[in-house]
Amino acid sequence: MIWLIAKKDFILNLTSSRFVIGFLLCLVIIPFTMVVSVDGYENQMRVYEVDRAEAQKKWQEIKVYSAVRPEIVKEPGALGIFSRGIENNMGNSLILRLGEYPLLLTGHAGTRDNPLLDAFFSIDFSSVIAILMSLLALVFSFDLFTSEREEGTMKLVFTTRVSRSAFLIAKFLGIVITLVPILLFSFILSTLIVVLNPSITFTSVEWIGIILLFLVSILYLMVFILIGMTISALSKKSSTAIVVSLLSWVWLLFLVPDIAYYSSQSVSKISPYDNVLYSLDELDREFAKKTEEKWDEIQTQLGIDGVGHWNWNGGADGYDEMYGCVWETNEFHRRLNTWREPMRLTYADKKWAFQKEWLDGLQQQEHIRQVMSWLSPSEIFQQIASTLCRTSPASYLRYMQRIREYRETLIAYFQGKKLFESFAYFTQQDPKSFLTIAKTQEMEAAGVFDTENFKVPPHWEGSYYSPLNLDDVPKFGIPKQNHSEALNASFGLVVGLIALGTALFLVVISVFRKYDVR
Amino acid sequence: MFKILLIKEIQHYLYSLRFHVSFVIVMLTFVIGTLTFIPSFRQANDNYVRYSAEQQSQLERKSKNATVVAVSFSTFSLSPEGNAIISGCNGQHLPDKIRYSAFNVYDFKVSHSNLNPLMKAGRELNWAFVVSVVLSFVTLLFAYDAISGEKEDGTISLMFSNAVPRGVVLLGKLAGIVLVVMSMVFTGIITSLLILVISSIVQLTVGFVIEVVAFVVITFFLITLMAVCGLLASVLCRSSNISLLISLCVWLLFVVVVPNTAVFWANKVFPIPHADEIQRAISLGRKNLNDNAPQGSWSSSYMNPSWERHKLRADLQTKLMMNEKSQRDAYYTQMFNQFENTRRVTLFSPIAQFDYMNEAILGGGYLRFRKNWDDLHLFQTAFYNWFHGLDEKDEKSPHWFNPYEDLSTTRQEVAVDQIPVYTERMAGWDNRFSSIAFYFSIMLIYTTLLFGIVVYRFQHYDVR
Repeated sequence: MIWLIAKKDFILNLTSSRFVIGFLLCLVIIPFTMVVSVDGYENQMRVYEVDRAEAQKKWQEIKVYSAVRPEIVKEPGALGIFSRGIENNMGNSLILRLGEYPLLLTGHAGTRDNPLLDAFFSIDFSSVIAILMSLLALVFSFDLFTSEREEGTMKLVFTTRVSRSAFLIAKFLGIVITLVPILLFSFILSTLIVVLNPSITFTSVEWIGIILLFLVSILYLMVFILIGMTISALSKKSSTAIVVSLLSWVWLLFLVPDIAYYSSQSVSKISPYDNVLYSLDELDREFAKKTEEKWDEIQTQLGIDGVGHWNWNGGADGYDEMYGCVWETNEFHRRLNTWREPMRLTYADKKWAFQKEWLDGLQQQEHIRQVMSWLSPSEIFQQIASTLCRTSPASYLRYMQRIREYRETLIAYFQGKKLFESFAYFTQQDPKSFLTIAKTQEMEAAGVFDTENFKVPPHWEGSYYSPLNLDDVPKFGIPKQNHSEALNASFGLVVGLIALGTALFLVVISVFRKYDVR
Repeated sequence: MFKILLIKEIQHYLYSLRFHVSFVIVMLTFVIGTLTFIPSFRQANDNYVRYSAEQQSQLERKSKNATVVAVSFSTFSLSPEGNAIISGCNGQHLPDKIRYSAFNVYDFKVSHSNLNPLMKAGRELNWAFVVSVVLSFVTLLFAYDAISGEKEDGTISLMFSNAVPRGVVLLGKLAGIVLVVMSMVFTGIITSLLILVISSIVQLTVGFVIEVVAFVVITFFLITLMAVCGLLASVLCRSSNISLLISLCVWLLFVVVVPNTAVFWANKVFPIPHADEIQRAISLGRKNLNDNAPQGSWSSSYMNPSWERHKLRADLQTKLMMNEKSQRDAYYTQMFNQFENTRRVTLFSPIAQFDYMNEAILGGGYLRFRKNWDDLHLFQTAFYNWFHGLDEKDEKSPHWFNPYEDLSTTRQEVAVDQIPVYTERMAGWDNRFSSIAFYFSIMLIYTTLLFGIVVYRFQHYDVR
């Protein structure tokens, strides 16, 4: 009996104008959205390849250990096409430094070449599903009871021996089997647009991700059908039901997310990162001052009144590369590094205290926003979608955590090999070939070399040396992707969605039991 | 006759459930939007004050050496505006910082350091948002069954048993819907203004009042257009269910679909080269210049400004800057064109027309950024001339202008208050009003055309 009513409703729905319009809406909106997302992904991929090749090239040209500052380039995930999450807020790469903990990815923020285009309202596939499917669910369910009652067919149904709950389930199923094909069509259409693009290939992990997203979408669809049914059961007239349904739709889909966003900012305030930067600058200045003092101290120890360099390249985060310098200069730098590099790590810890506080603030604010936006099922759905597609804040924070752990490994490597205390930290020149100032002057006078006219031994030039073999340096890697992590993370939300659906179902049943069918 | 009809319509709507529910939603959004605006505006202001203080102390440090003043990067940052409660004009997605020196206006940045990167930015909950998303929807909800609904109830045939011209009925309905929706707008705005005035966030200056009035007028036209769209859906269909579906599609088209296709058109119809291609071209130019530079171009001695090689260095640095500047400026022009062309495409949606009109009247958003970008270029020339004059007076200076380094130009100390500082000038009213004319005429043509169709259809409408 249940099946009979469901089938009848399904056939009636199929021929209705709302079905055709719903179908057409998907057909119009999805291609535009998907093409934009696929373009974005392709661009991300291209930037990734370019950046990675560049990072690799730089890595292969390293000649001293003080230049070992790996650049980490994050590979964009293909599932980001379906749910963008916070991808547009994040960069894609960062250079790992000893003097600072990795906080967030920098580099090409967002994916668009023209940052102005971000001013246009742009939504991803999961938002399209959230908006369209909820609307269709409401449009199909708002007059479920009211129209049958208005037309008088409901009285007729209950003249037969159909129980009210069976009737309810049948009605519910009727809408589900009408809308699931539209949903399926949307997924197939969007996946086709992705798959037909030769530059994108999906692995099995990604296919599973899409299937999971589809299953969650069905669940989401059901929740909205139940919302529509609840409204229908509580209203006497179809016109009332539709008005209430649509206004709730606007409220849930367009207002709750923004209200949650802005309210979370009022509830939990964060200071801008500029303020953190001011504190970091202060620490940097303090560190520089201490280094200057140490510089003088070592000069006194070595009995020199200045540090001269023949061939010196310096840079950020302790990078020094020098050749052809006198023994005093080399020894000076070795002693300075022995003190300076561990101190750099200490200062990194001090800076991290400020950064961590800021990051915790961000997380707390985001958490409040998430909880507040649970008022809307569409937000729950979006949060599940971005978790499944690994573009959620949590997944980014996990990634950053991994990079911080990798930094520790790298530091342990430096310390284990006593690199800070070594000449290899800043030169490849054989320490045996270092000449003291006195010796240099003596040889210059004897005409062994002529610094005035650049007639010097070849090993005084950087080009004499080949790059270091860095095979034993630990590399950054992320564990193989699997779904257990994403599933665990979204488990609570899925349960929440199911609980909401069940609660609504119970409400509908209890209301409908007392429903006056006349 | 018209008056009676109008009063009847207004009464009908005021007592309806949809009015009550939407009134609650609209008021809630207005109030929550205002309440969240206050702390965020306060915070933005505090940050801006701190930022300006930091800039000032930097300037003081720099003023010890005129060349450092000229060559070091200065950043101009857009200040938060109180009229953002009317419309933020999408400012949070647009560049807010511009980097310049006396030699060049380098680049712009979308930094917005007070935004949380872990959160997907929402749309700003300002008045323009309430009107363009909520009230446009509510208007359609009022209008969709204005005619088809009456037909189903049979009341319309009753009405025409009296000698009422159809045009008057239509006008009465339109005016009724617009007035009822506008009543919500007024209540919302007045409530919001009260909250703002009590919390002393905005001062009711003449300028602000003009902006508010202009916003109300623009809103009036948008609501009228949306009401006409709803009436059109209503006269096109026999059953109100179908008119509702059509109205929903129209709303989705205007609010979601058309804006959402913008990036598609930008990428496919108005493409620009990739950012890294430009970067590569710059690097190539850089390499060429470096390779062809005379030997000794990179030599420097801070202690001896007049060292001959500094002339070579200044020359090379200037060429390097010009290489980068020409490539980047051309790229920025392409970006601006792409953005402006795409905006023209989105004008198809009345919501976009509404947004651009607000932007024009508030002098905010993209217009504000562009004005500052152009003004800064003028300022930079003046800044350079100032530095040039200063350098000429210094006899110790070798006068070799190097855009990046403090090597071969005057190192005299300058008084902080002598240093030219860029200050933003808001667009004049004449400018603002003239730039909405274009959007306004499009909206008017739209409304007239659609209303013409409605009148025509309604004349032939079968009221039975």
